Amino acid sequence: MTIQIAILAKQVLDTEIPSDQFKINENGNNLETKGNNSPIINGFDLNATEAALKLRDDGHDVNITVIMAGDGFFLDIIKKPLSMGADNLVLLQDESLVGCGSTFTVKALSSVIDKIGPFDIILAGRHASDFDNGHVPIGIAETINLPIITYASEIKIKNNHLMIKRITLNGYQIIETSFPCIITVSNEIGEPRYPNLRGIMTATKKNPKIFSFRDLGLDEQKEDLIQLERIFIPENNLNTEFITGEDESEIGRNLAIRLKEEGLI
Amino acid sequence: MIKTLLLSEITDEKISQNTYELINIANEISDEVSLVILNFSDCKTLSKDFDKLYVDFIYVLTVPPLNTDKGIYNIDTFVISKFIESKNYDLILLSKTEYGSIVGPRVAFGNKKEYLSDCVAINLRENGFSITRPIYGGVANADYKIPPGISPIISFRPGLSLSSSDIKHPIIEEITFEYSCQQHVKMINEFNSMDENKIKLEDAKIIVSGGRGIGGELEFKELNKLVNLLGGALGASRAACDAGWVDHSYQIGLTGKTVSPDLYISVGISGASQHLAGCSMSRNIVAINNDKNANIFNVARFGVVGDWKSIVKSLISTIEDLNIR
Repeated sequence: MTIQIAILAKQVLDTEIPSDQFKINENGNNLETKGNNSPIINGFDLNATEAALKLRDDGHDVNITVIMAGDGFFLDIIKKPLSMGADNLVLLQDESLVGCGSTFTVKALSSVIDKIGPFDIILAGRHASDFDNGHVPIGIAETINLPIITYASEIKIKNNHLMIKRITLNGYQIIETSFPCIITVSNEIGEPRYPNLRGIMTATKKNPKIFSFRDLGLDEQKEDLIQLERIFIPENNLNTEFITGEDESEIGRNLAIRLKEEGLI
Repeated sequence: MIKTLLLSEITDEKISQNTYELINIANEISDEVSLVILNFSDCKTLSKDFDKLYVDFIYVLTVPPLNTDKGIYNIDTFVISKFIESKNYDLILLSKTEYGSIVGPRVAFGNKKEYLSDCVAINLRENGFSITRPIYGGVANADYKIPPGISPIISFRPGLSLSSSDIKHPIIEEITFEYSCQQHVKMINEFNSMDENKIKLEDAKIIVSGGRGIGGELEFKELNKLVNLLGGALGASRAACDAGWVDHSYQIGLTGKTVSPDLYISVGISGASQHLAGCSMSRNIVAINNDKNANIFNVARFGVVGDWKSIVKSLISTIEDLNIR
Protein backbone atom coordinates (compact mmCIF):
# COMPACT_ATOMS: atom_id res chain seq x y z
CA MET A 1 0.00 0.00 0.00
CA THR A 2 1.32 3.42 -0.94
CA ILE A 3 1.56 5.82 1.98
CA GLN A 4 0.08 9.15 0.97
CA ILE A 5 2.04 12.06 2.44
CA ALA A 6 1.06 15.73 2.22
CA ILE A 7 3.50 18.52 2.98
CA LEU A 8 2.17 21.96 3.83
CA ALA A 9 4.64 24.54 2.56
CA LYS A 10 4.78 28.32 2.29
CA GLN A 11 6.66 30.79 0.13
CA VAL A 12 8.26 33.40 2.40
CA LEU A 13 10.86 36.15 2.27
CA ASP A 14 14.37 35.01 3.06
CA THR A 15 14.86 36.01 6.69
CA GLU A 16 18.58 35.25 6.50
CA ILE A 17 19.14 38.59 4.76
CA PRO A 18 20.09 41.48 7.08
CA SER A 19 17.13 43.00 8.92
CA ASP A 20 17.78 46.49 7.53
CA GLN A 21 17.01 45.12 4.05
CA PHE A 22 13.30 44.81 4.88
CA LYS A 23 10.64 47.46 4.35
CA ILE A 24 6.87 47.58 4.63
CA ASN A 25 4.99 46.80 1.41
CA GLU A 26 2.58 49.12 -0.38
CA ASN A 27 -0.55 47.61 1.14
CA GLY A 28 0.97 47.84 4.60
CA ASN A 29 0.05 44.22 5.30
CA ASN A 30 3.43 42.54 4.94
CA LEU A 31 7.14 43.17 4.55
CA GLU A 32 9.12 43.14 1.34
CA THR A 33 12.82 43.39 0.65
CA LYS A 34 14.53 46.53 -0.57
CA GLY A 35 16.74 44.78 -3.08
CA ASN A 36 16.00 42.13 -5.63
CA ASN A 37 15.92 39.20 -3.24
CA SER A 38 14.03 36.11 -4.33
CA PRO A 39 11.66 34.54 -1.85
CA ILE A 40 12.36 31.07 -0.56
CA ILE A 41 10.38 28.10 0.61
CA ASN A 42 10.12 28.34 4.36
CA GLY A 43 13.15 26.46 5.69
CA PHE A 44 11.22 24.24 8.10
CA ASP A 45 8.94 23.17 5.23
CA LEU A 46 12.04 21.89 3.39
CA ASN A 47 12.91 20.02 6.61
CA ALA A 48 9.41 18.49 6.37
CA THR A 49 10.13 17.50 2.75
CA GLU A 50 13.38 15.92 3.91
CA ALA A 51 11.45 13.98 6.57
CA ALA A 52 9.13 12.56 3.89
CA LEU A 53 12.05 11.63 1.63
CA LYS A 54 13.80 9.88 4.54
CA LEU A 55 10.74 7.60 4.81
CA ARG A 56 11.22 6.74 1.14
CA ASP A 57 14.95 6.14 1.83
CA ASP A 58 13.85 3.69 4.54
CA GLY A 59 12.16 1.62 1.81
CA HIS A 60 8.57 2.73 2.31
CA ASP A 61 6.37 3.25 -0.71
CA VAL A 62 5.41 6.91 -0.35
CA ASN A 63 3.66 9.39 -2.61
CA ILE A 64 4.52 12.95 -1.63
CA THR A 65 2.24 15.89 -2.42
CA VAL A 66 3.33 19.41 -1.56
CA ILE A 67 0.46 21.82 -0.85
CA MET A 68 0.96 25.58 -0.83
CA ALA A 69 -1.56 28.36 -0.28
CA GLY A 70 -0.76 31.93 -1.28
CA ASP A 71 -0.23 34.16 -4.26
CA GLY A 72 2.60 35.59 -6.35
CA PHE A 73 4.34 32.23 -6.51
CA PHE A 74 7.83 32.03 -8.03
CA LEU A 75 7.46 28.79 -9.96
CA ASP A 76 11.16 27.94 -10.11
CA ILE A 77 11.45 28.43 -6.36
CA ILE A 78 8.35 26.56 -5.24
CA LYS A 79 9.37 23.58 -7.38
CA LYS A 80 12.31 22.91 -5.07
CA PRO A 81 10.54 20.13 -3.11
CA LEU A 82 9.77 18.46 -6.47
CA SER A 83 13.43 18.60 -7.47
CA MET A 84 14.33 17.13 -4.05
CA GLY A 85 12.05 14.18 -4.83
CA ALA A 86 8.44 15.08 -4.00
CA ASP A 87 5.89 13.77 -6.51
CA ASN A 88 3.19 16.42 -6.84
CA LEU A 89 2.69 20.12 -6.25
CA VAL A 90 -0.73 21.56 -5.50
CA LEU A 91 -1.36 25.29 -5.21
CA LEU A 92 -4.28 27.15 -3.74
CA GLN A 93 -3.88 30.54 -5.31
CA ASP A 94 -5.67 33.66 -4.22
CA GLU A 95 -4.62 37.20 -3.46
CA SER A 96 -6.54 37.24 -0.19
CA LEU A 97 -4.33 34.45 1.19
CA VAL A 98 -1.43 36.89 1.56
CA GLY A 99 -1.33 38.34 5.05
CA CYS A 100 -4.69 36.85 6.03
CA GLY A 101 -5.37 35.62 9.54
CA SER A 102 -4.54 32.06 10.49
CA THR A 103 -8.22 31.16 10.99
CA PHE A 104 -8.72 31.62 7.27
CA THR A 105 -5.47 29.85 6.32
CA VAL A 106 -6.57 26.86 8.41
CA LYS A 107 -9.94 26.78 6.69
CA ALA A 108 -8.42 27.10 3.21
CA LEU A 109 -5.79 24.38 3.72
CA SER A 110 -8.31 22.06 5.39
CA SER A 111 -10.50 22.39 2.27
CA VAL A 112 -7.59 21.50 -0.03
CA ILE A 113 -6.79 18.44 2.09
CA ASP A 114 -10.45 17.44 2.00
CA LYS A 115 -10.53 17.85 -1.80
CA ILE A 116 -7.38 15.95 -2.76
CA GLY A 117 -6.94 13.64 0.26
CA PRO A 118 -7.14 11.51 2.21
CA PHE A 119 -3.54 11.48 3.40
CA ASP A 120 -1.91 9.07 5.82
CA ILE A 121 0.59 11.63 7.09
CA ILE A 122 0.42 15.41 6.85
CA LEU A 123 3.76 17.09 7.46
CA ALA A 124 4.52 20.78 7.96
CA GLY A 125 7.41 22.90 9.13
CA ARG A 126 7.28 23.83 12.83
CA HIS A 127 6.49 27.43 11.88
CA ALA A 128 6.80 29.83 8.95
CA SER A 129 9.57 32.35 9.32
CA ASP A 130 7.42 35.30 8.28
CA PHE A 131 4.64 35.54 10.88
CA ASP A 132 6.34 32.98 13.18
CA ASN A 133 3.03 31.50 14.27
CA GLY A 134 3.34 27.74 14.02
CA HIS A 135 -0.30 27.16 14.82
CA VAL A 136 -1.74 26.52 11.36
CA PRO A 137 -0.91 22.76 11.37
CA ILE A 138 -2.33 22.52 14.91
CA GLY A 139 -5.45 24.35 13.76
CA ILE A 140 -5.88 21.96 10.82
CA ALA A 141 -5.44 18.97 13.13
CA GLU A 142 -8.22 20.26 15.40
CA THR A 143 -10.42 21.15 12.41
CA ILE A 144 -10.22 17.76 10.69
CA ASN A 145 -9.83 15.91 14.00
CA LEU A 146 -6.42 14.28 13.60
CA PRO A 147 -3.75 13.79 16.25
CA ILE A 148 -1.01 16.43 16.16
CA ILE A 149 2.61 15.75 17.03
CA THR A 150 4.83 18.82 17.08
CA TYR A 151 8.59 19.38 16.62
CA ALA A 152 9.58 15.99 15.19
CA SER A 153 13.30 15.34 14.78
CA GLU A 154 12.90 11.74 13.56
CA ILE A 155 10.03 9.78 12.05
CA LYS A 156 9.99 5.98 11.62
CA ILE A 157 7.24 3.67 10.41
CA LYS A 158 7.03 0.27 12.11
CA ASN A 159 4.21 -2.22 11.57
CA ASN A 160 1.78 0.47 10.45
CA HIS A 161 2.63 2.59 13.49
CA LEU A 162 4.58 5.79 13.57
CA MET A 163 7.41 6.26 16.04
CA ILE A 164 8.31 9.91 16.38
CA LYS A 165 11.21 11.47 18.22
CA ARG A 166 9.82 14.76 19.42
CA ILE A 167 11.94 17.67 20.59
CA THR A 168 10.96 19.11 23.96
CA LEU A 169 12.35 22.10 25.80
CA ASN A 170 14.83 20.08 27.82
CA GLY A 171 15.28 16.91 25.78
CA TYR A 172 13.04 14.68 23.73
CA GLN A 173 10.17 12.23 23.85
CA ILE A 174 9.40 9.10 21.86
CA ILE A 175 5.78 9.21 20.69
CA GLU A 176 3.83 6.38 19.12
CA THR A 177 0.85 7.15 16.92
CA SER A 178 -1.00 5.70 13.95
CA PHE A 179 -2.21 6.87 10.54
CA PRO A 180 -3.60 9.38 9.81
CA CYS A 181 -1.90 12.19 11.73
CA ILE A 182 -0.31 15.60 11.40
CA ILE A 183 3.34 16.09 12.33
CA THR A 184 5.28 19.34 12.45
CA VAL A 185 8.97 19.01 11.69
CA SER A 186 11.88 20.81 13.32
CA ASN A 187 15.27 21.58 11.82
CA GLU A 188 16.82 18.82 13.97
CA ILE A 189 15.51 16.30 11.41
CA GLY A 190 18.53 17.24 9.32
CA GLU A 191 19.53 19.46 6.40
CA PRO A 192 17.24 19.27 3.38
CA ARG A 193 19.02 17.34 0.62
CA TYR A 194 20.36 19.13 -2.43
CA PRO A 195 18.37 18.38 -5.57
CA ASN A 196 20.37 16.30 -8.05
CA LEU A 197 20.34 16.88 -11.80
CA ARG A 198 17.76 14.18 -12.43
CA GLY A 199 15.52 15.68 -9.77
CA ILE A 200 15.80 19.11 -11.31
CA MET A 201 14.99 17.74 -14.78
CA THR A 202 11.95 15.86 -13.45
CA ALA A 203 10.72 18.96 -11.61
CA THR A 204 11.03 21.09 -14.75
CA LYS A 205 8.62 18.81 -16.58
CA LYS A 206 6.05 18.79 -13.76
CA ASN A 207 3.39 21.44 -13.51
CA PRO A 208 1.55 22.33 -10.33
CA LYS A 209 -2.15 21.61 -10.06
CA ILE A 210 -3.77 24.93 -9.27
CA PHE A 211 -7.01 25.36 -7.35
CA SER A 212 -9.04 28.51 -6.90
CA PHE A 213 -11.43 29.25 -4.06
CA ARG A 214 -14.33 28.40 -6.36
CA ASP A 215 -12.90 24.92 -7.12
CA LEU A 216 -13.00 24.18 -3.41
CA GLY A 217 -16.41 25.68 -2.80
CA LEU A 218 -14.80 28.24 -0.50
CA ASP A 219 -16.46 31.59 -0.18
CA GLU A 220 -14.51 34.65 -1.06
CA GLN A 221 -12.71 35.56 2.11
CA LYS A 222 -14.89 37.37 4.55
CA GLU A 223 -13.12 39.90 6.71
CA ASP A 224 -10.94 38.42 9.44
CA LEU A 225 -12.52 38.88 12.85
CA ILE A 226 -9.14 39.99 14.13
CA GLN A 227 -7.73 42.48 11.70
CA LEU A 228 -4.16 43.39 10.99
CA GLU A 229 -4.11 47.12 11.59
CA ARG A 230 -0.56 48.07 10.74
CA ILE A 231 2.96 46.79 10.46
CA PHE A 232 5.82 48.93 11.70
CA ILE A 233 9.54 48.60 12.09
CA PRO A 234 10.44 49.46 15.70
CA GLU A 235 12.95 52.23 16.20
CA ASN A 236 16.21 51.29 17.76
CA ASN A 237 17.07 53.87 20.43
CA LEU A 238 19.78 51.85 22.06
CA ASN A 239 23.18 53.48 22.20
CA THR A 240 25.69 50.69 22.38
CA GLU A 241 28.68 51.50 24.58
CA PHE A 242 31.72 49.97 22.92
CA ILE A 243 34.43 48.79 25.29
CA THR A 244 37.86 49.58 23.92
CA GLY A 245 41.47 49.01 24.87
CA GLU A 246 45.03 48.57 23.56
CA ASP A 247 44.56 44.88 22.94
CA GLU A 248 42.05 42.12 23.61
CA SER A 249 43.43 41.48 27.07
CA GLU A 250 42.83 45.10 28.07
CA ILE A 251 39.39 45.12 26.42
CA GLY A 252 38.43 42.04 28.45
CA ARG A 253 39.70 43.70 31.63
CA ASN A 254 37.82 46.94 30.88
CA LEU A 255 34.65 44.97 30.22
CA ALA A 256 34.91 43.21 33.58
CA ILE A 257 35.45 46.54 35.37
CA ARG A 258 32.55 48.17 33.57
CA LEU A 259 30.18 45.28 34.39
CA LYS A 260 31.27 45.41 38.02
CA GLU A 261 30.67 49.19 38.14
CA GLU A 262 27.14 48.65 36.85
CA GLY A 263 26.55 45.97 39.46
CA LEU A 264 25.83 43.41 36.77
CA ILE A 265 28.34 40.84 38.04
CA MET B 1 -16.68 44.97 32.72
CA ILE B 2 -13.76 43.04 31.25
CA LYS B 3 -13.49 39.42 32.40
CA THR B 4 -10.24 37.63 31.69
CA LEU B 5 -9.33 33.99 32.09
CA LEU B 6 -5.72 32.93 32.51
CA LEU B 7 -4.40 29.43 31.85
CA SER B 8 -1.64 28.75 34.35
CA GLU B 9 1.39 26.54 34.01
CA ILE B 10 2.99 24.49 36.72
CA THR B 11 6.71 23.80 36.77
CA ASP B 12 8.41 21.79 39.50
CA GLU B 13 5.13 21.62 41.42
CA LYS B 14 4.94 25.41 41.62
CA ILE B 15 2.94 28.02 39.77
CA SER B 16 5.35 29.17 37.05
CA GLN B 17 6.91 32.61 36.87
CA ASN B 18 5.15 33.09 33.49
CA THR B 19 1.80 32.73 35.19
CA TYR B 20 2.63 35.54 37.63
CA GLU B 21 3.56 37.69 34.63
CA LEU B 22 0.22 36.93 32.98
CA ILE B 23 -1.60 37.93 36.17
CA ASN B 24 0.07 41.33 36.02
CA ILE B 25 -0.76 41.84 32.36
CA ALA B 26 -4.37 40.78 32.93
CA ASN B 27 -4.93 43.04 35.93
CA GLU B 28 -3.94 46.10 33.90
CA ILE B 29 -6.76 45.61 31.41
CA SER B 30 -9.40 43.63 33.29
CA ASP B 31 -12.02 44.18 35.97
CA GLU B 32 -12.15 40.53 36.93
CA VAL B 33 -9.35 37.97 36.57
CA SER B 34 -9.84 34.21 36.85
CA LEU B 35 -7.11 31.62 36.85
CA VAL B 36 -7.36 28.00 35.78
CA ILE B 37 -4.98 25.55 37.41
CA LEU B 38 -4.77 21.99 36.13
CA ASN B 39 -3.74 19.78 38.97
CA PHE B 40 -3.38 16.28 37.56
CA SER B 41 -0.61 15.16 39.83
CA ASP B 42 -2.69 15.86 42.91
CA CYS B 43 -0.09 18.26 44.19
CA LYS B 44 -0.86 19.32 47.77
CA THR B 45 1.76 22.02 47.99
CA LEU B 46 0.24 24.15 45.22
CA SER B 47 -2.57 25.58 47.29
CA LYS B 48 -0.24 27.34 49.73
CA ASP B 49 0.61 29.72 46.87
CA PHE B 50 -3.02 30.55 46.14
CA ASP B 51 -3.16 33.58 48.41
CA LYS B 52 -0.15 35.03 46.62
CA LEU B 53 -2.06 35.11 43.36
CA TYR B 54 -3.61 38.49 42.62
CA VAL B 55 -6.77 37.13 41.00
CA ASP B 56 -10.49 37.05 41.83
CA PHE B 57 -11.23 33.39 41.13
CA ILE B 58 -9.16 30.25 41.01
CA TYR B 59 -10.55 27.12 39.35
CA VAL B 60 -8.64 23.96 40.14
CA LEU B 61 -9.45 21.40 37.45
CA THR B 62 -8.72 17.73 38.04
CA VAL B 63 -9.37 14.44 36.29
CA PRO B 64 -9.44 11.02 37.98
CA PRO B 65 -6.19 9.03 37.55
CA LEU B 66 -5.93 7.65 34.04
CA ASN B 67 -4.47 4.71 32.23
CA THR B 68 -5.27 6.08 28.84
CA ASP B 69 -2.96 7.70 26.25
CA LYS B 70 -2.17 11.16 27.55
CA GLY B 71 -0.76 12.19 24.18
CA ILE B 72 0.73 15.64 23.88
CA TYR B 73 -1.35 17.71 26.30
CA ASN B 74 -4.52 15.84 25.21
CA ILE B 75 -5.96 15.99 28.72
CA ASP B 76 -5.13 19.68 29.16
CA THR B 77 -6.78 20.50 25.84
CA PHE B 78 -9.84 18.44 26.71
CA VAL B 79 -10.32 19.80 30.21
CA ILE B 80 -9.76 23.46 29.32
CA SER B 81 -12.16 23.14 26.37
CA LYS B 82 -14.83 21.64 28.63
CA PHE B 83 -14.29 24.40 31.19
CA ILE B 84 -14.57 27.32 28.78
CA GLU B 85 -17.67 25.83 27.13
CA SER B 86 -19.81 26.89 30.06
CA LYS B 87 -18.14 30.23 30.76
CA ASN B 88 -17.95 33.56 29.07
CA TYR B 89 -14.72 35.57 29.10
CA ASP B 90 -13.67 38.58 27.07
CA LEU B 91 -10.10 37.32 26.84
CA ILE B 92 -8.33 34.02 27.48
CA LEU B 93 -4.60 34.42 28.00
CA LEU B 94 -1.68 32.03 28.34
CA SER B 95 2.11 32.12 27.99
CA LYS B 96 3.94 31.45 24.77
CA THR B 97 5.92 28.57 26.14
CA GLU B 98 6.19 25.11 24.61
CA TYR B 99 3.02 24.23 26.53
CA GLY B 100 1.16 27.35 25.50
CA SER B 101 2.22 27.04 21.86
CA ILE B 102 0.43 23.69 21.67
CA VAL B 103 -2.45 23.96 24.13
CA GLY B 104 -3.39 27.52 23.03
CA PRO B 105 -4.08 26.77 19.35
CA ARG B 106 -5.55 23.33 20.12
CA VAL B 107 -8.14 24.83 22.46
CA ALA B 108 -8.77 27.80 20.14
CA PHE B 109 -9.22 25.92 16.86
CA GLY B 110 -11.03 23.05 18.57
CA ASN B 111 -13.57 25.53 19.94
CA LYS B 112 -13.74 27.84 16.90
CA LYS B 113 -12.11 30.73 18.69
CA GLU B 114 -9.66 33.24 17.27
CA TYR B 115 -6.03 32.75 18.24
CA LEU B 116 -3.06 35.13 18.39
CA SER B 117 0.38 34.04 19.48
CA ASP B 118 3.49 35.61 20.97
CA CYS B 119 2.01 39.00 21.87
CA VAL B 120 4.18 41.60 23.58
CA ALA B 121 1.55 44.24 24.36
CA ILE B 122 -2.20 44.50 24.82
CA ASN B 123 -4.24 47.68 25.12
CA LEU B 124 -7.79 48.43 25.98
CA ARG B 125 -9.63 50.34 23.27
CA GLU B 126 -12.93 52.18 23.42
CA ASN B 127 -14.27 49.23 21.49
CA GLY B 128 -12.36 46.03 22.09
CA PHE B 129 -8.60 45.63 22.34
CA SER B 130 -5.43 45.96 20.32
CA ILE B 131 -2.38 43.77 20.55
CA THR B 132 1.18 43.98 19.24
CA ARG B 133 3.25 41.00 18.19
CA PRO B 134 6.66 40.74 16.54
CA ILE B 135 6.86 39.21 13.06
CA TYR B 136 9.82 38.06 10.95
CA GLY B 137 11.69 37.15 14.11
CA GLY B 138 11.34 40.70 15.44
CA VAL B 139 12.34 42.63 12.30
CA ALA B 140 8.93 44.30 12.47
CA ASN B 141 5.90 44.49 14.74
CA ALA B 142 2.28 44.01 13.77
CA ASP B 143 -0.71 45.61 15.49
CA TYR B 144 -4.02 43.75 15.44
CA LYS B 145 -7.47 45.06 16.27
CA ILE B 146 -9.68 42.76 18.34
CA PRO B 147 -13.39 43.62 18.29
CA PRO B 148 -15.41 43.05 21.48
CA GLY B 149 -17.42 39.90 21.99
CA ILE B 150 -15.22 37.33 20.24
CA SER B 151 -13.35 35.93 23.27
CA PRO B 152 -10.00 35.25 21.59
CA ILE B 153 -7.20 33.12 23.01
CA ILE B 154 -3.90 35.00 23.14
CA SER B 155 -0.43 33.82 24.09
CA PHE B 156 2.09 36.26 25.59
CA ARG B 157 5.83 36.18 25.28
CA PRO B 158 7.47 35.26 28.60
CA GLY B 159 9.55 37.90 30.39
CA LEU B 160 7.29 40.87 29.61
CA SER B 161 6.30 41.82 33.11
CA LEU B 162 7.50 41.44 36.65
CA SER B 163 5.43 39.54 39.12
CA SER B 164 3.32 41.46 41.56
CA SER B 165 3.46 41.03 45.31
CA ASP B 166 -0.02 42.38 45.96
CA ILE B 167 -2.40 40.21 47.95
CA LYS B 168 -6.00 39.51 47.07
CA HIS B 169 -7.89 36.58 48.56
CA PRO B 170 -9.32 34.70 45.62
CA ILE B 171 -12.41 32.51 45.67
CA ILE B 172 -11.34 28.93 45.00
CA GLU B 173 -13.44 26.30 43.27
CA GLU B 174 -12.48 22.71 42.43
CA ILE B 175 -13.99 21.00 39.42
CA THR B 176 -13.50 17.36 38.39
CA PHE B 177 -13.83 16.18 34.79
CA GLU B 178 -14.26 12.75 33.26
CA TYR B 179 -11.74 12.46 30.46
CA SER B 180 -12.23 10.48 27.30
CA CYS B 181 -10.19 10.51 24.12
CA GLN B 182 -10.19 8.29 21.06
CA GLN B 183 -6.91 9.48 19.55
CA HIS B 184 -3.98 7.13 19.65
CA VAL B 185 -0.98 9.21 20.71
CA LYS B 186 1.15 7.46 23.27
CA MET B 187 4.29 8.69 24.93
CA ILE B 188 6.67 5.75 25.02
CA ASN B 189 9.59 7.44 26.68
CA GLU B 190 10.94 10.80 27.74
CA PHE B 191 14.54 12.00 28.06
CA ASN B 192 15.94 15.11 29.68
CA SER B 193 19.31 16.24 28.47
CA MET B 194 19.55 19.24 30.78
CA ASP B 195 21.47 18.66 33.98
CA GLU B 196 18.89 18.84 36.79
CA ASN B 197 21.43 20.35 39.17
CA LYS B 198 22.31 23.27 36.96
CA ILE B 199 20.53 26.62 36.96
CA LYS B 200 17.73 26.59 34.41
CA LEU B 201 18.10 28.96 31.47
CA GLU B 202 14.61 30.33 32.12
CA ASP B 203 15.50 31.13 35.75
CA ALA B 204 19.09 32.31 35.31
CA LYS B 205 20.00 35.89 36.21
CA ILE B 206 23.13 35.67 34.05
CA ILE B 207 23.44 33.79 30.76
CA VAL B 208 26.58 33.29 28.69
CA SER B 209 25.63 32.23 25.19
CA GLY B 210 27.80 31.02 22.31
CA GLY B 211 27.26 30.95 18.56
CA ARG B 212 28.83 29.89 15.30
CA GLY B 213 31.83 32.14 15.99
CA ILE B 214 32.90 29.92 18.89
CA GLY B 215 34.24 27.41 16.41
CA GLY B 216 33.72 23.98 17.95
CA GLU B 217 32.60 21.69 20.74
CA LEU B 218 35.84 21.96 22.72
CA GLU B 219 35.90 25.73 22.45
CA PHE B 220 32.34 25.79 23.75
CA LYS B 221 33.51 24.23 26.99
CA GLU B 222 35.69 27.30 27.60
CA LEU B 223 32.54 29.37 27.92
CA ASN B 224 31.55 27.16 30.83
CA LYS B 225 34.39 28.60 32.91
CA LEU B 226 32.79 32.03 32.63
CA VAL B 227 29.35 30.54 33.30
CA ASN B 228 30.53 28.86 36.49
CA LEU B 229 32.42 31.92 37.66
CA LEU B 230 29.32 34.10 37.27
CA GLY B 231 26.92 31.50 38.65
CA GLY B 232 24.89 31.65 35.48
CA ALA B 233 23.65 29.31 32.77
CA LEU B 234 25.05 28.37 29.38
CA GLY B 235 23.06 29.12 26.23
CA ALA B 236 23.63 28.72 22.51
CA SER B 237 22.42 29.96 19.14
CA ARG B 238 20.70 27.67 16.68
CA ALA B 239 23.83 27.61 14.49
CA ALA B 240 25.89 26.19 17.37
CA CYS B 241 23.24 23.57 18.13
CA ASP B 242 22.80 22.58 14.47
CA ALA B 243 26.57 22.16 14.24
CA GLY B 244 26.29 19.62 17.03
CA TRP B 245 28.57 21.50 19.45
CA VAL B 246 25.87 21.61 22.14
CA ASP B 247 22.56 19.90 22.74
CA HIS B 248 19.50 21.65 21.33
CA SER B 249 18.12 22.08 24.85
CA TYR B 250 20.61 24.94 25.29
CA GLN B 251 19.18 26.77 22.32
CA ILE B 252 17.90 30.34 22.77
CA GLY B 253 15.69 31.83 20.08
CA LEU B 254 12.49 31.35 18.19
CA THR B 255 13.11 27.61 17.93
CA GLY B 256 14.51 27.35 21.44
CA LYS B 257 13.96 29.08 24.73
CA THR B 258 12.88 32.63 25.48
CA VAL B 259 14.97 34.14 28.26
CA SER B 260 15.07 37.47 30.08
CA PRO B 261 18.07 37.50 32.43
CA ASP B 262 19.57 40.62 34.00
CA LEU B 263 22.77 40.02 32.02
CA TYR B 264 23.09 38.22 28.69
CA ILE B 265 26.64 37.81 27.40
CA SER B 266 26.59 36.73 23.76
CA VAL B 267 29.84 35.38 22.37
CA GLY B 268 30.42 34.80 18.65
CA ILE B 269 26.74 35.26 17.86
CA SER B 270 25.89 37.31 14.77
CA GLY B 271 22.39 38.16 16.02
CA ALA B 272 20.06 36.67 13.42
CA SER B 273 16.50 37.75 14.13
CA GLN B 274 15.63 34.15 15.02
CA HIS B 275 18.12 34.34 17.92
CA LEU B 276 17.19 37.85 19.05
CA ALA B 277 13.57 36.74 19.39
CA GLY B 278 14.70 34.58 22.29
CA CYS B 279 17.07 36.98 24.09
CA SER B 280 16.03 40.55 23.31
CA MET B 281 13.98 40.73 26.52
CA SER B 282 17.24 40.51 28.50
CA ARG B 283 17.79 43.62 30.62
CA ASN B 284 21.46 44.06 29.66
CA ILE B 285 23.10 42.49 26.62
CA VAL B 286 26.86 42.30 26.17
CA ALA B 287 27.93 41.37 22.64
CA ILE B 288 31.38 39.97 21.93
CA ASN B 289 31.99 39.52 18.21
CA ASN B 290 34.88 40.04 15.79
CA ASP B 291 32.62 41.63 13.16
CA LYS B 292 31.83 45.20 14.16
CA ASN B 293 28.85 45.20 11.76
CA ALA B 294 27.23 42.17 13.36
CA ASN B 295 23.51 42.58 13.96
CA ILE B 296 23.87 41.64 17.64
CA PHE B 297 25.37 45.09 18.38
CA ASN B 298 21.99 46.66 17.53
CA VAL B 299 20.53 45.22 20.72
CA ALA B 300 23.65 45.31 22.90
CA ARG B 301 24.15 47.76 25.76
CA PHE B 302 27.85 46.91 25.78
CA GLY B 303 29.71 46.00 22.60
CA VAL B 304 33.11 44.36 22.39
CA VAL B 305 34.83 43.87 19.03
CA GLY B 306 37.66 41.37 18.85
CA ASP B 307 38.77 37.78 19.26
CA TRP B 308 36.46 36.21 21.82
CA LYS B 309 39.03 33.77 23.20
CA SER B 310 41.46 36.42 24.43
CA ILE B 311 38.66 38.70 25.58
CA VAL B 312 36.87 35.98 27.57
CA LYS B 313 40.18 34.79 29.05
CA SER B 314 40.98 38.28 30.27
CA LEU B 315 37.40 38.83 31.41
CA ILE B 316 37.62 35.68 33.54
CA SER B 317 40.95 36.56 35.14
CA THR B 318 39.86 40.13 35.89
CA ILE B 319 36.60 38.97 37.50
CA GLU B 320 38.59 36.50 39.61
CA ASP B 321 40.89 39.35 40.73
CA LEU B 322 37.97 41.67 41.46
CA ASN B 323 36.22 38.96 43.46
CA ILE B 324 39.28 38.38 45.64
CA ARG B 325 39.71 42.03 46.45
